[in-house]
Amino acid sequence: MTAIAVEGLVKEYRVPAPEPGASWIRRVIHRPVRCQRAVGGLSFGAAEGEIIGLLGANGAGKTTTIKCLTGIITPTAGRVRVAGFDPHRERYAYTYQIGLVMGQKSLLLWDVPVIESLKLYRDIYELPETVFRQRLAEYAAMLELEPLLGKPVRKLSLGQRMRAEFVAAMLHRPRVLFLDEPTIGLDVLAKERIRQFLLELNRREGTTIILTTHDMRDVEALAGRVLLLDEGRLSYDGSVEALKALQTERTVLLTYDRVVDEVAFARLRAAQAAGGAPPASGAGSLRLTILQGEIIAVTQAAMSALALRDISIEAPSLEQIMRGVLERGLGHGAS
Amino acid sequence: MVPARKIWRLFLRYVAIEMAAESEFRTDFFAGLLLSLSNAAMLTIFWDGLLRVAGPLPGWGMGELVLMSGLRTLAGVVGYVFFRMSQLPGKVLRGELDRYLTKPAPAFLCLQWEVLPLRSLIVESVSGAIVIAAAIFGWGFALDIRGVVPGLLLLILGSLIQTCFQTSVAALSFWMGRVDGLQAVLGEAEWFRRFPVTLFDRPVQVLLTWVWSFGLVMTYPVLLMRGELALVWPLLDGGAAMLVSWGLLLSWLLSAGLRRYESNGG
Repeated sequence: MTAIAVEGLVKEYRVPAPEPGASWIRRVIHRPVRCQRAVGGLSFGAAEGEIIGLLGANGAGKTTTIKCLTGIITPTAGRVRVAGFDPHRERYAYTYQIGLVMGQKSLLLWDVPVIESLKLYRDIYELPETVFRQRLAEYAAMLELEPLLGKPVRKLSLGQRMRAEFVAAMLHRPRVLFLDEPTIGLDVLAKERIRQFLLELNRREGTTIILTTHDMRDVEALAGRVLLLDEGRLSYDGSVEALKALQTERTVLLTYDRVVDEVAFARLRAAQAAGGAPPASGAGSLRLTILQGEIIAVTQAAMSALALRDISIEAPSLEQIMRGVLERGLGHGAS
Repeated sequence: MVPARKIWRLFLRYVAIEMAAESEFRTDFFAGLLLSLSNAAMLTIFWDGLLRVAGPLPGWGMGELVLMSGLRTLAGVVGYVFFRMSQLPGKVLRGELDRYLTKPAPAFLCLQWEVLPLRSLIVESVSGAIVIAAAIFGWGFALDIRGVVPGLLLLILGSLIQTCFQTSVAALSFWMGRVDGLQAVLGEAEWFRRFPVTLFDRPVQVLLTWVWSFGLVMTYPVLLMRGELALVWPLLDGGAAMLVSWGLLLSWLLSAGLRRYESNGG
C-alpha cells in the first residue's frame, strides 16, 4: 500500500536580490526579490513500511522536501499525498498520522522536565492515560530514558535530548515518521542506539520512515532505498546496493618485502593508480585502482611478482559513490 | 477545526507546564504585586494632584479614575489569558511554528501559551481586585450592581479587540519579516490607556474606542458600573460587531500568512 505519493513537487522561496550599484536610499526604499527554486519537479512514491534515505549536498532540497511533506510549508506546485491525506488542506487530521524529528529544532519545552512535554503531546494527540503510560514505559525502556524524565530539557546532553525527542514524536504511533538529520552531532554510541530504535520500530509497527542525513552510516544501517537530490531534482532513486554497484572500481593495496619477478612486477606497475608514489624494488607498497572483475587476476599476478606481506582490498564508501554520482552523473560513480 | 474542549484541555496543560516552570525558577510573587500596585498608586497620585490643581474633570471624580485604573489592570489579565501575539514576528523569523504545524493542535494558541505568564496573571488579578476595592471603599465610587456584568463583558470584548488588532499587526511578519518598528509606532498609542477617552475630541474618542478599543476596555465599563445603563446595548452590540470584524480579518491574515511561512532554520 502506498504511504507517500509525490508528483511534480516544486517549492520556490522569495529571496532578496540586491541591485548592484544601487544607492543606499534606493536599497532602503526598494527591496527587489527573486524566486529561488529549492525543489524542482520532484516525483516519487513510498510503500508502507519502507525506510527511505533522502540524500544530497547542502542546499539540495532535502529539508524543504520534508517540510512540504509534513505540511509545514506550502508547495509552489505539485501534488503531495501522505498516508492518504493532503498535508496542507487536511492538516488537522493528517498530523495524527505523522511524526517529525528535526535534529536542529526541538519538539520539547526547554525549561520544564521532559515528562511535562510528553504530557503535552499526550493531550495534543488525545491519548488515554493508560495508553500513554504503556507507550511511555515501552519507548523509555528502548531508549533508556526513564532516569531523564524528571530532568529539565535544558540540562540534557544532545544525545539524551534526541532520545526524548524520539519518544515525543512516537507517542501517538505515527504511520509515517520524518527524520531530518536526527543523528547530527551525536556520538557513535548515541547514533547506534537511535538506529537500533528505528529498526525495531519499523520491524514491529511497520512505520514508514523518511530520513535525511549526511551520515552515510545511518543510510547503510537503515535505508533500503535512497533518493539522491541535486539542486532540487532527483538524481537517483533505488536501493543502496544498486547505488553501490554503480561503482565497480576497487583499490588494492599490496605490501611486500621484495620483488620476486621483475617482468610481472612491471605489468602490475602499469595498472598503478595515477599519482601514486613510485614503487620500490626492495620492501614497499603498491596501490592499484582496478575494476572489481580484475581482483583475482591482479592478486594472482601480485603473488607471483612479489614476496607479499599483506593485501587489502577497499571498496569506495557510499559517500564517495554519492559524490561521484552528483559530480559526474549516474554513468560514472566515484573516482 | 480543533474542538473547543481540546483547546480548553490544552490551556490547562500549559497552565500545569507553567507551574512546573515556576517551580524551576523561584520567582517573587510579592515583588510583582508590589510593582503592579505601585503603578496604580502613581497614577492615583497623578490624578489626585491634577484634580486638586485643575478642579474636577467633567463626569470623572477620584472614585471613577481609580476604578478605571483597576480595570486597566484586569484588562491585562484578559490579555494574558487570551493570546497576545506580540512575539509572533520573532517566532516566524526563527521558524518556531514548525513544532505545532505538524501537530493536531491550534498552532498559534499553543505558541502563545508556551510563554503563559501565570505569575503575572495572578499578580495582576490580585492587584486589580485591590485597586477596585480601594475605588469603591476608599474613594466612595457609587457602584450600580446592574452595570457590573455588562461592564466586565465590555472589558473582555475590548481586550479581545485589542488582542486581534495587535495580532493582526504581528501577522504582517509573514510578509514583511521584522515588524518591530511598526509595532513600536502603534504601541505608542498605549499612552492613552491611562486617560478616560471622553476627555478627548470626538474623532479621537472614536479612534480610541473602535480601533484601539481603550474606551471599551476602561472608560465605558466605568460608566456602566456607575449606572449609565442606556449605553449597555449600543456598546455591547458595537463591541461584538468590531470583534467579529477584527476576528475575521485576523483569521484571514493568519491563514494567508501560513501559506507564505518559510520555516527558516534547520
